[in-house]
Amino acid sequence: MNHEIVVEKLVKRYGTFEAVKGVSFQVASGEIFGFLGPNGAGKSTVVKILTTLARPTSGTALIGGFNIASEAAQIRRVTGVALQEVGLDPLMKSRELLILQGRMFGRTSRQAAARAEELLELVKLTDPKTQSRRVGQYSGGMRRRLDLALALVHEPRILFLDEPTTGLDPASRRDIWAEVRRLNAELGMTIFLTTQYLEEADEFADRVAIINGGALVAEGTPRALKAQIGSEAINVTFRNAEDVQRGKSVLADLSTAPTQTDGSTLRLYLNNAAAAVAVVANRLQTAGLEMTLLTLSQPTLDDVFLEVTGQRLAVDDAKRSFEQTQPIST
Amino acid sequence: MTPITITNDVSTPFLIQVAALTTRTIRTILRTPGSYLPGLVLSVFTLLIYLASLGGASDFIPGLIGKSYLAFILPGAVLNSALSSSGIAGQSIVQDVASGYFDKLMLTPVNRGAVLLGAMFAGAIVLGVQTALVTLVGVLCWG
Repeated sequence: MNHEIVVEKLVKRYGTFEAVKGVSFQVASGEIFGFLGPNGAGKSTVVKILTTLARPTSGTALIGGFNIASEAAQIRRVTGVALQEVGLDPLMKSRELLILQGRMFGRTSRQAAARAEELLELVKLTDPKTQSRRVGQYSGGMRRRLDLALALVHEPRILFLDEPTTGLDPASRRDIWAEVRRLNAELGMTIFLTTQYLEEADEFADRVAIINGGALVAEGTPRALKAQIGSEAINVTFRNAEDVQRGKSVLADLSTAPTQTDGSTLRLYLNNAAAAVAVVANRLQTAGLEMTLLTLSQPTLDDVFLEVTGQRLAVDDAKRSFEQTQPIST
Repeated sequence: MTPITITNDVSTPFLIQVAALTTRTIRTILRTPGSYLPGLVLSVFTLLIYLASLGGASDFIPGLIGKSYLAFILPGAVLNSALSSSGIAGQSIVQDVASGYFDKLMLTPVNRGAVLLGAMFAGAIVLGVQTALVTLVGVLCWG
């Protein structure tokens, strides 16, 4: 298969601190690749290296067939980048930014202006009132959309999106994802994205890799990763943490993967959770343990994340609003 | 969307890159009056004050007798304006770094020198206009 991104043993050291510890992975042409990890895991450092904004301490990477060490200029022509920190000059207007960006990529004034119109329409910033305002007065969602438009000016083959939906309201997030999907499906654009919303990665990414402490700890399709930790789960909530430990000793042998505890909740992984409910209830009764809640759930990427990193990806409540439509499983 | 098919290996000529970036920086400078107004106002102000209060002094300042007091004070006012606004070019780059726009430019194949030259030319042009304005005020007032 043709690979647009090939990363080999990438290392980045800041002084004695090793931010990235020998990361290797590949992204196939036309793939949506999700790069996940908690804050400070090295995600953004990897993105900066792959987009030529930073140099690796050692290791190599080929982007679109070009070497990051020696062919940075070519890489910049085939990649579009929307960084986590939206990089827009607050004093400029959207059309001015798009045209200037086009000019920097070798477009004539006329080509750049035509492309700017297209992109403004694409990201829905066509309102004349909006266009007469400076970017500094835009809302967070509008700025993100403009930033995405800027990344698309030169019709890149590979798009890097570093947390494209962080801090956006649910409607804007859906818009961004619809657009990313369309770019991938219609133009065959290869998309490398990082996100802290695992549900999004689960839904949109063809393949994901999880980085923790600078090293890759899991890689595969969301389905395969979820399958690795069991097909279904039973969550038993006890009165307190002490009961959880006792419950664990009574029930652990039922679980096909190591059990997990989260507060006063114990999670068991089973192949057929529904059939095991009676056994679980029976054993707890025999042991004299009372449960306050029992639920069944399908494993999510968050479970995979917990398994491989030992922590949940902390996302505060306000940011979780997007997921509220789905039943809470723990 | 009908994508315009353009090959990606066309480069904008260096001078055109510089021109585009210069235009852009002038635009952002003009949109922050705080960057150029203090220097301009201050030098026009001192020029007028000195002209009004000491304008007749050329008659008895040794070495200046018979010469124009304006010719004596104008270069000072121009220098004053230039010095107080000389940070404009540097400031515009610092602002770009702070807003993240500098990274955005670095992600394009733009010539790195063009980014610096664009800011410097823009600063020079703004200073040139300031100097012209200060001179104009001086000449108009002195007649």
